Amino acid sequence: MSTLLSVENLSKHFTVKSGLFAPMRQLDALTDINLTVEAGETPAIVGESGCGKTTLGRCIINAQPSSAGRVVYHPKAGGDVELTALNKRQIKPWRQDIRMIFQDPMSSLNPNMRVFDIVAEPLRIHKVCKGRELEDRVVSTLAKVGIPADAVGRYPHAFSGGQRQRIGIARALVLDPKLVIADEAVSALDVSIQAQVLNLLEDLKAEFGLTYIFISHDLGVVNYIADRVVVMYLGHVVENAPTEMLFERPRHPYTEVLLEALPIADPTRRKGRKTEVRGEIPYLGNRPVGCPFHTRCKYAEDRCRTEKPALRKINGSARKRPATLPKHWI
Amino acid sequence: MARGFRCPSALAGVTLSLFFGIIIGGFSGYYGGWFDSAVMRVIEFIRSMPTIPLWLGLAAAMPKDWSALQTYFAITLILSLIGWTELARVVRGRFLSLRTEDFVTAAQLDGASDWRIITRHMVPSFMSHIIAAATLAVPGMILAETALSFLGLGLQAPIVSWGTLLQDAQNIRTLASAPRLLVPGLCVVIVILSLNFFGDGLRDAADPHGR
Repeated sequence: MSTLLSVENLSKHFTVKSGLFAPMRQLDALTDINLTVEAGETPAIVGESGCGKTTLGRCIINAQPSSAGRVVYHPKAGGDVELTALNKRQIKPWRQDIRMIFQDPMSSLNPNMRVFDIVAEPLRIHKVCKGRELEDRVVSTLAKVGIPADAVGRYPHAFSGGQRQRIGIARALVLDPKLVIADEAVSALDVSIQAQVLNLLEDLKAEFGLTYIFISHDLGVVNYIADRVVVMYLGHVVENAPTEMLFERPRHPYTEVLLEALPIADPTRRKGRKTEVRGEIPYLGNRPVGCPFHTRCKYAEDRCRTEKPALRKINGSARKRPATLPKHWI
Repeated sequence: MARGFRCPSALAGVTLSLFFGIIIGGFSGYYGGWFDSAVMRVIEFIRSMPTIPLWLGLAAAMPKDWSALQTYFAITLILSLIGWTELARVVRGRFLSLRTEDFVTAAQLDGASDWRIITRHMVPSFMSHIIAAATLAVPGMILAETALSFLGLGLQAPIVSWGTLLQDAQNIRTLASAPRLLVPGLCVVIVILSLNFFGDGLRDAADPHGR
C-alpha cells in the first residue's frame, strides 16, 4: 500500500476576544497532529464533541486554514502536493481528488437547486464534461446511490434524510475522487438508514477504489466500517491503532473509558453499572497542563499533571500512554 | 401626468435601494472584517437621523425652477439614500448566516469561485427575502412621497399626486363638508395593501418548497 495523505505536525489555533478590551485568547483546537493515510484503507477519527475531529477534517481538506504543520497529498501519478501551502486557485484541481461528505443532509444540499444541478455542479465547475455526457454521468452516479432517474428534477426537500445523504454522497463521488472525508456521514440518520448508507459506502469504496477518512463519535459505526481508529482528545491524538487491536485492548485510559461507554445489546453480558467518564471535557481555552486527559483519568498521578506524554509505538502502531503506565497495563 | 410616473418612480427608488443594499450588504456580509464594521457604523449613523426633518431639509434644498419630473426623481433619490440601509442590513444578515451553511462550504469545496457561490448558491436562497423586502419598500416609498407632498414639500399644487390632493383635506371644516377629499387616502391604503399581497405572492412563487 502506498501513502495517500500525510498530516505532519498539524496545529490549528483560534483566537477569540471575549470583550472589547479583553486580551485575545488563543484556543488550541488541534495540537501537533501526525497521521498517515494509506491508499485503500479506512481510518476513523473518533472522540467526543469538541475534541477537534471535525476541525481536523476541515483542515485536511483546506476548508479552514491551519495554523502550523503540513498536509501533504501523494497522488498516484507521483509528485507530492502540499495542500496547506496552496492558495485557492492552486488547490482547485486537487479538489477533484479530495472530496467531503457532510454530516447534516438537511443543510448540505442547496434547497434552491434541483438534485441534478447539485450533483452536476462540481462537474461544471471543473469543466469535466458538458451536454449529453454530463447528463449521463450525473444520472448514472445518482443511480449508483439509488436515486432513480425520474427524480433528478426534484428539489432536495422532496427527499427523505437517507435519500438526501445519498445525494450528498453522489455529489462527492461524481468527480471520481481518490480520498473522501466523511464527517459524521451517518450521524444524522436513523439507525436502519445508517446501515443502508454504510453498506452503500462500502460498496462504492470497492467499486471506485476509494479511501475514506471517517469522522464519527459512534464507535459502533466505526467498528463496522473502519480498519484503523484514531482517538482524539482535546485536539490531541491519544491513540492510533488497528480497529481490532483497539477494541480488544485499548491502551490509553481515554479509549478505555470510551469503549466502556458502548452500550451492550445483550443483557446477560452486562456487568452492572458502567463506569462513566468523570467530569466534563475541559474548555479549550482553559486546557490542563501536562497530560490533557489527567483531569478525568482514574489513573492520574502527580507526574501526569506536569508532563505531557508523547506518542510511542507499541507493536508497530502509535499509542500514547500516560506519563506513568498504570500497573495493570503491563 | 404625475400619477403616470408615480409607480415607476417609486420602483426606481426601490431599485436604487436594492442595488446599493445588495452590493454593499453583500460585500459586508460575505467578506466581513473592517469593511463590515465600517459599513455597519455608517448605516447606524444614517438610521439614527430622524427621517422627516432630513427629508424636509433635502427637499427644501431642491431648486425651485426644476420641472415636476426632476423634482420627483430627486425626491425618489433622497428616499432611496435612506432606504438602502434597511435592505443592506437584511442582505448582510442573510449572507452572514448563509456563509456558514454546509451547502456553501460544499460549493467552496467544489472549487467554486466567490462570484459563483454568491450568484448561484447564496443569492437564490434569499431571493424570496429580497422580493419581500423590495415589495414592502415600494409602499414605504409611496407613503414617504405622500407624506412629503402632504406637508407641501414634495410635489406642489398644480401637479396631481395623492399627497397634493390630500393637502386639501388638512382642514377639518373642509373635510366635514366634503368627505370625498379623503378618497386619495383610501387609494393610498388600497395600493399599499395590494402591493403587500403582491409581495407575499411573489415570495411564495420564489420559494421552492411551495412547488
